[in-house]
Amino acid sequence: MIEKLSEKMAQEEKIIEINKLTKIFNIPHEERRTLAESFIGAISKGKVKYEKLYALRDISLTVKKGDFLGIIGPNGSGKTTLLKVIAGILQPDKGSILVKGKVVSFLELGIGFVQELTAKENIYLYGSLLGLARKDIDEKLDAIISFAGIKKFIDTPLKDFSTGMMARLAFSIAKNVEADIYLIDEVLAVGDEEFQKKCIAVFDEFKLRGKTVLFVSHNTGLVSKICNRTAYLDKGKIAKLGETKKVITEYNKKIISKEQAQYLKQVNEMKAALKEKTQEIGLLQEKLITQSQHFNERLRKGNDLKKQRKWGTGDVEILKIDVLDSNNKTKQSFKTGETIKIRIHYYATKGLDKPEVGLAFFNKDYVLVGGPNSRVANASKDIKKGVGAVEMIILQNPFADGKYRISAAISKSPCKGKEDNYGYYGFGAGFIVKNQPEKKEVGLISLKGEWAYAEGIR
Amino acid sequence: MKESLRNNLRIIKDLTLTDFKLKYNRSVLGFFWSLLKPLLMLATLYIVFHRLIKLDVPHYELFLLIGIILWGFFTEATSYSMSALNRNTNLIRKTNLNKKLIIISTNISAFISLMLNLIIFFFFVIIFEAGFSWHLVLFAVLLAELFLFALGMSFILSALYPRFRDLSHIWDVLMQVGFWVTPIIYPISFIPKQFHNWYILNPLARIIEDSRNALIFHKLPPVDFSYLKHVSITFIICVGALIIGLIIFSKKSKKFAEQI
Repeated sequence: MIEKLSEKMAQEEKIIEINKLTKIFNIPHEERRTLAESFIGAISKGKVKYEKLYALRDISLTVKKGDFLGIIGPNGSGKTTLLKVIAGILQPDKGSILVKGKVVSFLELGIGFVQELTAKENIYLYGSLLGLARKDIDEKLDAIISFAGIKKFIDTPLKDFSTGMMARLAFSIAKNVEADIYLIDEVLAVGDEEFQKKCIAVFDEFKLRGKTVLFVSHNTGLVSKICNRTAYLDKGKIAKLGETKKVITEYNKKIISKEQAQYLKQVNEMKAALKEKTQEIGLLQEKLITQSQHFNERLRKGNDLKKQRKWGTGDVEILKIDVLDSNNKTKQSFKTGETIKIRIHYYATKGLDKPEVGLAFFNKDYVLVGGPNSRVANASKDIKKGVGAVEMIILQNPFADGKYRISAAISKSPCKGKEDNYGYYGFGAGFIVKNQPEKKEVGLISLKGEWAYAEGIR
Repeated sequence: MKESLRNNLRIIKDLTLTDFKLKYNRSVLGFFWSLLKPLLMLATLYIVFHRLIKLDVPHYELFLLIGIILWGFFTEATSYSMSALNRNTNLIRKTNLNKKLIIISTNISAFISLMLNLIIFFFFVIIFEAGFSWHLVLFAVLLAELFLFALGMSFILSALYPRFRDLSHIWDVLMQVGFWVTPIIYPISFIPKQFHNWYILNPLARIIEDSRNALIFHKLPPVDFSYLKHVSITFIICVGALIIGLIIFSKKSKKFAEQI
């Protein structure tokens, strides 16, 4: 009973005690690495200013004998620094650290190897540094070599080794050293699956022999497999410490929530962008609709207008009215006295017997200035079914300066009213009369006549 | 305690071996070249100072060789120690090895070279028939003094080197000057008496001078007050350098892992 109690006490024995430990790295703003620089710098700029980087901040941690403590956390959270302080490689700036027993550290892959020496020489050297006597190494040499799986390369200089090979070699030396505490930093990250299995077997053996292991890894699966307790470091602080399962759950939660937050942020950004685009599209659509409505409206109005301006019994439709000059070329502007040809294109749905073709010239104030008529002129002819044109030639333009519009009608002869119109086209064409200023006359028409003078008459 | 001492001794042995291997690049020829260096220097200086300038010193070749060898050890030990920390960054950044062991083993490695050079020296002694005497015991004491001084200076220099990288150049220059300021090619009697009190502050001066008396001329210097004073000054400087070196190095070595 008493024996068991003492055994239990021994198990509970604290082997590492860290109290409010802080490690600061001073990053100088300006590098002074030589005497000359220091001398000149001290004279010209005074003391070097430092940026304080808290690698570890107020870390308190107790590790009991036989503990397998996992240390997890994102890059730069201080995991390796913590191991280095425990290993005695770095000195803490504040707080205390107590380590009982022999520590073997396996840090940052590769360890204290000398690149120019062969693997075998390095085994002896590194083993010696870790406290193995030469004869101990002689005994264990084969085991070390076969564990690392480098039998063929035993006499190869280490500089020709891959990082994986070096890490495997270092680990297989370290595991053969009898120590109380093993500090292991990412050994399995470089090994293949077979090597990982071997490592896990080593850890199991350590566990059986009551060794204490501090295990830094990013592989939470491995940590939960090996470690009974875990510390989660974040930005140099212990974010959570305790039972591995709980800590890893917390860690994963943090990571997942971090990832989720990032994901959500992305989704939100995309949503916002989508919304913006949708709004843009909506505006465009609206604009398009109003435009097309407007367009349709105008089209309809235009058609209506055309319809209004074109009417009649429907036997004839006046298609268009051309205003031409004497050379049969479309022209807009004429001078008084020039020849104007008015050509009326029509479509007759049936043959018509000498219909009356009439024109009406309006000025800008809708005053009917002239209304020539084929019947009056005795020029009416039969119209056949189909398209055709009637031309009226004004030999000498009688109009004075101004704008004129032309309406045309083909109707039953003699035309007695609107109902007699086969087809009418109101304001189907127009032209301008513009004379040189000295030839300009007032009024609507230019009256041609002879001027005579007589004296003495009263 | 005993365990840790044995451990440290074993580490020193292995580090020294490594150092030796690396220095001579694992080649027998490399080692012979290193022996050739003092001999070549000897030949040059011998021709210049004995044949041309006609320095009249008996056994000048032996006189010159022991100076070159002892001076060579001091330069090698200190210069090599200064860069030893840089050559062993892995050891410093990734293990909690006591850094003093690196410096000690570098010095021992230089000392082994010295021993091998001394074999050649004694070979010369036989050839030139200078003979041996009980004064060899005195030489052993002088060697011990020299080793302590070299070790002390190595600690001081290597502790400061990570912070001041130009120290190696400065030290190179000082060693060049030192070669002429130390009685290597000439006897100490060439220096006017009134400067002796200053001159003797260089421990190498008395160590080399007395080594010649012991090894070549087989005599004791006139043991008077001024000689005893000089002996004690040299001893104090050698031990003092070691103590100061250990203090500075212990203080500075805590930050080596961050600085290197």
